[in-house]
Amino acid sequence: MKAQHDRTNEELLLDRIRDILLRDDRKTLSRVEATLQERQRLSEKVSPIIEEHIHFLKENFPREFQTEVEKIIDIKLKRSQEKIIELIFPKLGLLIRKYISHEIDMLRERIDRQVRKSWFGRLQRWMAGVKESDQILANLHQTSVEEVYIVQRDSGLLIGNASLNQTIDKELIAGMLTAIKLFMEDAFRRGEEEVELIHYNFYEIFIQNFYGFYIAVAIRGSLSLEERDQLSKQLFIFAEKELNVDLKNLSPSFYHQINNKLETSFLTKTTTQHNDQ
Amino acid sequence: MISKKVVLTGSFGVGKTSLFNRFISNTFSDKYLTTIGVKVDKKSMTIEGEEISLILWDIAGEVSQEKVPKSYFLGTSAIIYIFDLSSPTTLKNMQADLRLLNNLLPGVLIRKVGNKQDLVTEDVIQQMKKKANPDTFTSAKTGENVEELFLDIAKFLIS
Repeated sequence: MKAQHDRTNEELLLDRIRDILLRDDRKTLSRVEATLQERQRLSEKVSPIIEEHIHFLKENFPREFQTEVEKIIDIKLKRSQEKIIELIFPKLGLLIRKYISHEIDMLRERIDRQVRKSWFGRLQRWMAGVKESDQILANLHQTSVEEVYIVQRDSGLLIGNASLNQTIDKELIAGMLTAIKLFMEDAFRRGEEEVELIHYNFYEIFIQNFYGFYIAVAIRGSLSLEERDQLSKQLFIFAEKELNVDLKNLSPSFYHQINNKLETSFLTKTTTQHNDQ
Repeated sequence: MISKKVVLTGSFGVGKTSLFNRFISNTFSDKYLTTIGVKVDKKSMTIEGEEISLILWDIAGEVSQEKVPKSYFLGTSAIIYIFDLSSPTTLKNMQADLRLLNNLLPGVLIRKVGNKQDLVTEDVIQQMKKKANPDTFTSAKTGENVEELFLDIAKFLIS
């Protein structure tokens, strides 16, 4: 009984010593616990550290993780190689086919011109009874750009235009041209190919397609392949310089500016070709 | 001036072109001429001092919108889905068509229109209200509610 009483006293004494010794630690512990359990207090402590890390990552991500990211991309690319080829191949094939066909046509045009110039060409024309004066007249053709339209590709809404003559409503032309273009592309079902040229009587409408819009150029006369190529280049340069903007959110002043730029870039030039000279 | 593309679509023979002509030129013809591909026209309106151009695309009718080239709908700001009040078969695919259009153009204004109101009785109109719940009933022949329909769309697009 006495021994048991002594042990209880001993335990009480030990508890008191423990309380004295651990008082400070326990206070700290309860403070830490409260901080951990209270979201706001925890956030106050942790957020600056996280933000600091995020900032560090933002600043140093390329340097720190470049190798890992490259490895992941490499693996992904290797795994998706077939899918990528499947996606790119038809487009690439179409582009190559178009390019080759275009180059061959250009070459044919150049050879024709050379043959016409040569004594063999003259002999051929003489044998066929074609007068030299008639040939010169045939070779002298004049083309001029009469109208230019920049049209939103999806909606057919007019972005800008310039015209030498008074025509019917320009917005209507843009809409109808888009509808005709879409109808042709849908009706003939030629995959991803797009309408690039509409020919009627003495006029041609040359269409240069871009991602979100297209430019339609109405030409009096008929352009040679070389001229068409030059016009296409000119349109690309114009688009890169003037239409590199968000076309869905245009300011009213943009229309006025772009119309003036179209006029000065395309309508003042008249092309006269002297193919044999 | 603001320009907006508005597409008129629906099954064939429901009166899309008649509504189109009534609104554009205030004319009506009893002759049925099927639309090939698409027809485009424009009408300018002034709403609360602001000018708006509605570029209307009248698309050739198809039994199901699945058959209409999707490219015709791209970039549109509003769609008028028309059905014929006197021909319930033109309602057959309406729900599926509207689902398809909503998926293709999320958030775009779609107005359901019951046309040829002049050909049906008040009872039919009441039935159609329950069955199809159209936004409006029109008659391209008499011109009833046609101007109001486009005006309402223009107001919505300008706001």
